Amino acid sequence: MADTVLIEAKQNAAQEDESELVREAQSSLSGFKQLYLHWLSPVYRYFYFRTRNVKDAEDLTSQVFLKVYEELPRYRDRGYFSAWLFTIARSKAADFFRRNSREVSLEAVEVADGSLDLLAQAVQSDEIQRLKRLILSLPDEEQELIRLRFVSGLSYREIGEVLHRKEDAVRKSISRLLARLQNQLEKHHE
Amino acid sequence: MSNLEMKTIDEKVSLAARMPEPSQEFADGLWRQIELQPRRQEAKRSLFGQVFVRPAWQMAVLVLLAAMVFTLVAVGPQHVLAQVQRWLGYMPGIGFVDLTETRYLVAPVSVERDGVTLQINQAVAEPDSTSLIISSPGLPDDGIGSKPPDFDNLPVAALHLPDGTSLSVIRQDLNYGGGKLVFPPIPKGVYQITFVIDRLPLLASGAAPEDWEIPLLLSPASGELPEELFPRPYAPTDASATANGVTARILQVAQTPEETALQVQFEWENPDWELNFGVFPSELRDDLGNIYYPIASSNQVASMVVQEAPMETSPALTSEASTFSSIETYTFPALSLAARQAELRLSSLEFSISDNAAFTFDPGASPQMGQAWELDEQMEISGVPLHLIGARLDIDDQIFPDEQKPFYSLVFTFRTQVDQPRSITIFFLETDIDGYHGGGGGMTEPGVFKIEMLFEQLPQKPLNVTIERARIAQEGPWEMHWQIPWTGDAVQPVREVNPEGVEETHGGLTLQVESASFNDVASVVNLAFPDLPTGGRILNVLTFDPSQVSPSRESQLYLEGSDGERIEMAQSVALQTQGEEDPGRLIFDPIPVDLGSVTLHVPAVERFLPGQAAFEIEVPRDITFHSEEFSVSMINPSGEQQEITQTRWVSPPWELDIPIEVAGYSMHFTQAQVERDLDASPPFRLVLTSEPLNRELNRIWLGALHISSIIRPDGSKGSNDIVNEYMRVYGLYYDRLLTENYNSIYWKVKLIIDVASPDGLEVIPGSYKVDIDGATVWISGPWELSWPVSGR
Repeated sequence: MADTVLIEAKQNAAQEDESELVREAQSSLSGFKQLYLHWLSPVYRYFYFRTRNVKDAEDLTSQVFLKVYEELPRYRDRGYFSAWLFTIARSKAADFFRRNSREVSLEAVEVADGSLDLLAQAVQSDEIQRLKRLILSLPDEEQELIRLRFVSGLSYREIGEVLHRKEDAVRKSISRLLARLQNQLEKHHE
Repeated sequence: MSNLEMKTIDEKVSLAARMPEPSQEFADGLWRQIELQPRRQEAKRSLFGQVFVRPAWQMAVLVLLAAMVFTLVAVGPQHVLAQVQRWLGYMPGIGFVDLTETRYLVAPVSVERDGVTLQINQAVAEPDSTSLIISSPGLPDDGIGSKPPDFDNLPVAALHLPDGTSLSVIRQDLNYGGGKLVFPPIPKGVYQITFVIDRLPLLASGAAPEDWEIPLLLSPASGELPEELFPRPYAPTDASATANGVTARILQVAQTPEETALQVQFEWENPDWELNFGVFPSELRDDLGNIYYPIASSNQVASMVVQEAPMETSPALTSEASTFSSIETYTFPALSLAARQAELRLSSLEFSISDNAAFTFDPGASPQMGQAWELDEQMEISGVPLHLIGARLDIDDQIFPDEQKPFYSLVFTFRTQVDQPRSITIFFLETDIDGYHGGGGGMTEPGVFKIEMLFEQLPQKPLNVTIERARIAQEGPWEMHWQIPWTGDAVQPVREVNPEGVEETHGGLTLQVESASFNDVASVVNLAFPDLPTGGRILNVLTFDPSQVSPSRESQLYLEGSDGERIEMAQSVALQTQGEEDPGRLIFDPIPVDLGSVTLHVPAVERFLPGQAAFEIEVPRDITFHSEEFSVSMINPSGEQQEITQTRWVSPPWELDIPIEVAGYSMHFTQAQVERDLDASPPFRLVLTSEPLNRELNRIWLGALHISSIIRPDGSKGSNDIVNEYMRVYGLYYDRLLTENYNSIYWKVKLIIDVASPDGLEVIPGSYKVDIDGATVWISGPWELSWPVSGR
């Protein structure tokens, strides 16, 4: 019970911090810069995971922050700014993949074989490489859980807001997913 | 025990999911862009709220002044001149105005009755007066028929306001059929007015239709779209559709300057179904030909409510069964102010279902690697037939290529129906055997599922397999139409521009601006390609120049306003088209209302050049495969170049001697090899590699070869639709960041041919006949085409 109270208190404190950050960002450019610096990396990493190239990740990240800057004065803070931010990011990613299907003859070449992060592979262990391949073989909705939780660092509650699912359901889904990955890795070692 | 082994699975996944950070240069550059970005200052509002807040004009003026000072500091006095002119209110065609107070007609509006046209050329509502310039184009100067001009009886004209009051003319300067009429100022916040006139100026009584009435929708000269222009949230009448047992109904519509939100209720009868929202595409259309695609809502997250609805709340369903429903919110870009009808189209919906099916598979006591079983087991999931037709046992070397111990892969092949009202989209296979690592997925090709079950131990006894967590697609379409209940019958017209002689030529290709139109949701530019040789069709106007190593932001496809503002390609709006998509039609975001001219920047164009070539190639029997390491060089985000090693499964290579020439480009294929990737489609690919060639001729780059036909050894026609249906350029094949090759004009060419058997399990050996009918080339620009857009 005490643990539960402590977790909730931490979550509430984090939400209050974020709300304060959002209020500052709504009222001043310098406030927005704090918000920008705080969320730039998580958003960029999310897009890099999905597009596997710097140029597209930069383009999509730019679109998201320009949109957020434009719309933030009208954003009604309910304690889940990150959910709003990543809802925009997911929409931009959907637009990107829909739009880019038009120029198949050029861009399919990049997408077709760009599914592995070669640079990261070169510096990581075999086990991590195996894990990465396992992740990439997951259905997209499970990959999205990995992206939001481990690439962008969102909390279970925030992921729930983004995916329209309850926090407990997200926690269970990720927990089961990790257990399955762990199981596959362990069996591989035996 | 390594450090890695001490880590938790959370930490390991974090490591595996580690992505590069954005570069400092990018972070700084984006921040500079944000600093220069105008920011909306509207008050907060509820999307479905009933009370809208009027714009705070005084605050807007302060913000405007602050932004001017800031921009002056940020970009310097010369560049800012155009901005200042606009903010202070110089509008081409209108003159100096107070932007915060002035409303005006964006483009002429006309009404035709009995062959006579009355046109409102201009309407400007300023703080001290309201002016209209009207005309009747096409009238003969000497009167109509036997009715000469009447200079004695002046027409009676007025402006009707939404509150029922009217404003009479205080000054007028008339000519035959037209003139300038001045009225008192209209109140702040009023954008919809109706112009009435009993008779066209100076026309004799009875010479032309009388008692004219034209509704006008004025726009703020500041370019903003206040909420007063939009209807209040409303419930459309009868906006519902039923298809294949699922009813969709629009409960509520909210239109704001930023977005259009639709609350849609879905009802179905099967209690085992749960709607997966947002999985399938939807689109909103209006009666002007605009298509809007979903966007993320700017101020709320859609929520899902699943409940058992009592029958009395579900009038569309007449069944006595319980009805299950889900209410979803779709958001789209703001509908055009000119739209009078709208339609929401949903092509299909996806449901998670709880139905299961099961089968037993007996591999026998000593199954062999590569062994295949023909199976014939019919199953059904939620009424959709699923036919298990085969299985194959192998070692999955693609997932764990470094594993010493074999990892067993049992791939089941299922066939199912496609192009039917209901189909299965994904399912998973479960079994209770120890060492099972799971398996499931979607179709690998239309109507075929190949589901791989991974085992640590070789399965040697009957397996009880259940099919679980399936999803089905329920086809529509659901097309819901409704009338938009505008408070007035005002229109927001489209500005059409037909510039003459706006063209430029690069690489022998002329681009000409044929026409352009601008409205409140999009800017459409139609390009023509005069003097195009026969057969040399245009494939795409490219968004970047692929011949550049790192295309800069300036070398992208965009419109630039005369004020220096960049107008990007529209992302969530398109136009309805008849027949094939026109590559010359480009759609951008709306332009500011007061622009004098625009410049279209086109970085490159992709076109097809005809050219014939043909050859035969022999694929040997009994091909074996081995893993092979290959290295590529790539540039990481910080600009450092690194060599990266990867593994692929290939056959031994064999030599070729196939020289061909297509569209002036000569290439010589000297090596062939079959690549195997069981996760890819097709799983076996014959790869022909050429000697290095110069792919650039007079700034025209060879991009791809087009295979017109492949005749396989058995005489059947082979698929040439492999990944990109064209040849691949070596380097691009594995990663486009191969700078060594990218910087060179000499490239190896790879031509890919599908050599897999229909079941995808083996290579078909023998002679393949290949016909090529042309090449795709990239012509580098940039074309920069400028033309005026005011002219009103």
